[in-house]
Amino acid sequence: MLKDEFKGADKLKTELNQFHVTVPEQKLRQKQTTWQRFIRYLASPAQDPFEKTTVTTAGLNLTRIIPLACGVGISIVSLVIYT
Amino acid sequence: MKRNEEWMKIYQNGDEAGYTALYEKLHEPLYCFLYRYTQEEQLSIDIIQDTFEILQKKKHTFNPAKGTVKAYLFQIAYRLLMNKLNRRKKWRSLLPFLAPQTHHSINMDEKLWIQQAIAKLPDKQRAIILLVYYEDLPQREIASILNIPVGTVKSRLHQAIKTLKEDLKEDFYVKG
Repeated sequence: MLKDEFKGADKLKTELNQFHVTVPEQKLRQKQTTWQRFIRYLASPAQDPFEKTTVTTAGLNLTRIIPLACGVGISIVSLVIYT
Repeated sequence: MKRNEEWMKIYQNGDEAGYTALYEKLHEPLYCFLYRYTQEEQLSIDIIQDTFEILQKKKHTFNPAKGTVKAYLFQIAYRLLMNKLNRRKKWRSLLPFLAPQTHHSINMDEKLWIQQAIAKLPDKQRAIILLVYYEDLPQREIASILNIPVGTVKSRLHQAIKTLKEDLKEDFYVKG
């Protein structure tokens, strides 16, 4: 038996025995459709792509200033073009 | 008490009682294996449901000469798991910010050292240690589940035990 390979590894066996699993019987019996799984996938939290910039004050300010600057820039360009 | 193979035969002959008996007997060890491997409840549940759905569709492909029903179901579940994890890896590399964050149920509690240690093991070693220690499956069945040569099972088991022992030793020194 392969389990004999654990002979002499009592400490490891003790640790392994602590890994108990509780089977969620109720959830297992509730079969989800592909659509429900897709909705769950869409609703699951994803990583914030701007996390690295928004954690610092400078980065946070930048994310506020950039759209403002873009808006001002676009306004100026449209004024120059149409006047 | 009937063996799994006898229940499978009953199910193959069209009696749903066989399926019910197989589900009752095997969903728990399957869930435990999947949960210990992924440490994700929902992913394990999805795979269990898909595995039994495949069993319903392909019940006639089971051949008792090739192995046990338990090994057959574990093989299906392991393949489904690998497909899902590989797909997830691809998504993560293509669109890292769109890939859902995985919810490991690990608390950084001291008593759960083993959960962290198993999660840290390389994928191939993790499956072996779980199938040997918790399921007590024979070498030949593990080889067929993981689709690897019989000799590789033992070598990977040795590596896994060695890694866990070293990890345990380090943890002991850190605590000390």
